[in-house]
Amino acid sequence: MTQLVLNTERLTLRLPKLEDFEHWATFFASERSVFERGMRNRKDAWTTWAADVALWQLKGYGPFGIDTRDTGTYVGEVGIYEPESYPEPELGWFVTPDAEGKGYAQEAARAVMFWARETLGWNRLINIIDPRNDRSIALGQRLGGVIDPDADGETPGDIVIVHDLRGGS
Amino acid sequence: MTRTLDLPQLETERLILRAPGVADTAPMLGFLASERAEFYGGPMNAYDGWHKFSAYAGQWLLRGYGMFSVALKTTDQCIGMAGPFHPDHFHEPEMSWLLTDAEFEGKGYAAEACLAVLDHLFTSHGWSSVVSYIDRANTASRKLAERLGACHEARAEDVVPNCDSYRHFPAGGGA
Repeated sequence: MTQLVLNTERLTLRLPKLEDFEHWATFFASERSVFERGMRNRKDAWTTWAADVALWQLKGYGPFGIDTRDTGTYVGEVGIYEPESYPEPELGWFVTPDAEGKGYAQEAARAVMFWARETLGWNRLINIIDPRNDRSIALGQRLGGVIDPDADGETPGDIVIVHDLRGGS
Repeated sequence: MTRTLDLPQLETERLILRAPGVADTAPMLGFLASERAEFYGGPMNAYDGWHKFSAYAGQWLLRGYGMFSVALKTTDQCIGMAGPFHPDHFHEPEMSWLLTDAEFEGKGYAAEACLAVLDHLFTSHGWSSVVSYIDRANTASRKLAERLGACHEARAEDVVPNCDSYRHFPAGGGA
């Protein structure tokens, strides 16, 4: 397997691995998933997560699992998501409850945006966010993104934030 | 596009077995939307079909093995899938197979693909056996399992409703 690792100041971004699933099963069993495709049982959580992971094989990009560099603790997933219902590849993020509020998603997202520009040659990435998800909308804007009220999301009412990758991040 | 995985490819007389790719999405979504998918959780809409097919593909990265796309050598057309399916709620990998369309049935394609995959699992992966869960109403699959030499094992209600388990062993190493 090709080594695909991105390092930031505090984080290592690498391909997803089987052990990551426990965090996703917990996430989809919790209220925290309400804005992220909804709560689902463990069996459906597997299908959803394994399908996201498959992007690496099908298209050569996808979500990165994230560990802290100092202790190797899993803190979440940031990367490219593109389920069948999305109009284009999306920059998405997920942070475990214990790792929230430390700026990890922002740090990892900047690395992914840079990678998408440098390695994939992309000029743009979007976020598709539930309008009630204030924290994610704020992060999208903090990363330099701009809300496009005319852009299509997944379902009507979704907030779509557009990132122009050409300026560097 | 960058390939991030180094995946095996198997070849038989008439078939190429390769890791699932984007080109297999349309035939697989067509299969999953059809009545033929009744033993695979279908028929289902495109959203669920995309997730199911993609989860088959994603399993390769997570477990290092998975279901191969089965393509005709002559046309490179995807006619089905065959290989070990191993979602979280299965205690062990399950040898699974399907043909996307009735036009590919009755030609021995499924048997040809399964024999190649089983040989690969026993030889390259060193597995000592592999199970198949087959719905008791799925006569075609039950017959194929028997033709492949699998042993009818037990009911498998705790894993998949209405299914019996059949177990495949390496040639000559039967139970």
